[in-house]
Amino acid sequence: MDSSKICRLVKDQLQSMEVTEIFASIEDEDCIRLEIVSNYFQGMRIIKRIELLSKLLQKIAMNELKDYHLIFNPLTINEKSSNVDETANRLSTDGKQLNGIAAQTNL
Amino acid sequence: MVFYTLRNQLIVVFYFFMKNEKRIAIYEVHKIKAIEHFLMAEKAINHEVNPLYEQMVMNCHMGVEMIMKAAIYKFGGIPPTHGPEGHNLLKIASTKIGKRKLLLDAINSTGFIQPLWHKIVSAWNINKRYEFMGLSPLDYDDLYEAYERFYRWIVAKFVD
Repeated sequence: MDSSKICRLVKDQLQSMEVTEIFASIEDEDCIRLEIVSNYFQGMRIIKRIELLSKLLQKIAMNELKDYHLIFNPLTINEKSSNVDETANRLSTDGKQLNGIAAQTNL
Repeated sequence: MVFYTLRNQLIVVFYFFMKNEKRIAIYEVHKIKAIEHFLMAEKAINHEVNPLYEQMVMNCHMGVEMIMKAAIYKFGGIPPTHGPEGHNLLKIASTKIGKRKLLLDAINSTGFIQPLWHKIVSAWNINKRYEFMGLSPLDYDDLYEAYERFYRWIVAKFVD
């Protein structure tokens, strides 16, 4: 299955939300990375975005794409164009002290 | 002639049991490692002063990795063990046992597991351990729940 066909399949399933762009790339034979750009994700937490996409794409994930792993990368238009974080809950500055597992364990 | 045939058959049977014993030992070790990682993850997220979210995610990832490997060993497969592939949940789930990808097939045919799997593999992978994740505490809580529920499913379906 090629990426254009995957994009068409995904777009059909995501009609309930206004999708601006969909990028699909096939990695390692059985893994599809889907970058979905939509302002529908504005103010939504990252895990909630993934959960929403998982629910909306469940039908094709269990049928046409059942031999693949799906990895979601949901972004708003601003996040895509200028790396602005528009998720609902940003970490406080205190949270930035938890900077990576490496910082905590000296890996 | 009969003696040699019998001897060869005994050697084959002996090696079969050796291999089987080793396989069972590896399976048991991975199962115990998985439990230990989840205990550490629980400790990290329930830390009294400041929950150690990144430690929690790392340990949940390792716990799920170990339990998936235990399931594969139990069913006679050999998961990737070396290099980055050894920590890649996608590669581990794609391990073939015979002609089937046991875990991938099971995940993609179980409706309530798919969202958990999508959260786990989309939100974090082992290459992100040096990066600042920027998730909110609520996201980390959801992620912990996803890892834990996925772990319990693997245990119930494949390991116990």
